[in-house]
Amino acid sequence: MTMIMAEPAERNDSEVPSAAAEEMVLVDRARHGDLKAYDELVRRYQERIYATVYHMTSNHEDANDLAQESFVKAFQALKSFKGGSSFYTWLYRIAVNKTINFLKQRKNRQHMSLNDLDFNAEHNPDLVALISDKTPRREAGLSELQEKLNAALLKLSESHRLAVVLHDVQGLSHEEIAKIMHCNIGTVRSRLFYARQQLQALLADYVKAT
Amino acid sequence: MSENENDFEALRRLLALKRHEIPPPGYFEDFSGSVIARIRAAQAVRQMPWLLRVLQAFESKPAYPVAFASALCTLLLFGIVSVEQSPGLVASPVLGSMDSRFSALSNTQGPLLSYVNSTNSQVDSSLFGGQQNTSASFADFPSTGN
Repeated sequence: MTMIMAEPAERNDSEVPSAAAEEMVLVDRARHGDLKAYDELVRRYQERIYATVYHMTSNHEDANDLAQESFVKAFQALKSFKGGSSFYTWLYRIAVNKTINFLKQRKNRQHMSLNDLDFNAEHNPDLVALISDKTPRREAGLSELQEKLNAALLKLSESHRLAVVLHDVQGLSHEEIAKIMHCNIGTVRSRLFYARQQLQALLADYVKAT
Repeated sequence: MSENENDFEALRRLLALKRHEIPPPGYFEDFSGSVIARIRAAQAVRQMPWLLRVLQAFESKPAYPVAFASALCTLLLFGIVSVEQSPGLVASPVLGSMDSRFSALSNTQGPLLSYVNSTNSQVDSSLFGGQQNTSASFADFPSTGN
């Protein structure tokens, strides 16, 4: 199976209103206890929610638990969802808050293996260029790079890490991130800038000037 | 900000590696099913009587009954110790009245208690060679005619 998680979402403007209306119908049905409708909503967002939690925790087991708990909590709190923001933003906020609370309680812990990477990673020209002169064996280089990257991300504060994950990994806009993180766009940009600066310093050996 | 974006272009390409980190194959096929199962389980628990919910919490997390038992023992020990050491209990209205009644009783029966003590001392002295002064007399019951 080849799959890339959380690619930046491409949206067709003409589809947005109908999709939003359809989503509101599903939300309304789920609010009245329709689990089939909620199942449909879970299927829509499961990959993106899981990916966000996973990139924040760097652990599949934790991400699995937290993502599922986020969906359960969202269902239980559906009555309080007024529709002021999109369901997607509201759901993201629940998952992000849950993850940040979890990370505050958790000590440094990370499990990584090359199996976590998909086949495409080894054929990504940017990544190959990054590791080709580091080690003679590509797999070792990719694995090492992945570990360094996750270790560097885990050194950032939760809010800075979240900004990087949502923008640079998941491709969300500054506006969407501001809504999710409940702050203004300037704060998002500032967090993103300092997070990148820190990452650049931590990954200096791997980041080449273009 | 666009300059900053260019400054970090290499870093952004490196961060793209994160997109290749994937869960085990077939993971998302079961995901929504697991979520719905959790929701149903939570609903079932909410409909249970509170006592069953407590018992279920005890079963699911062994730390809970241990903590509960420890708290109960601590409370019991604290209660025992505080009862033994507290002088306030004697001064309490109920126990205080009982105590006054008991002292009044012991005052009225003072001669009786001293008699018992003197009798005991007499018996003791007779056992060790003292003079035993015992006398018996017949009881004189009035006869009743048939």
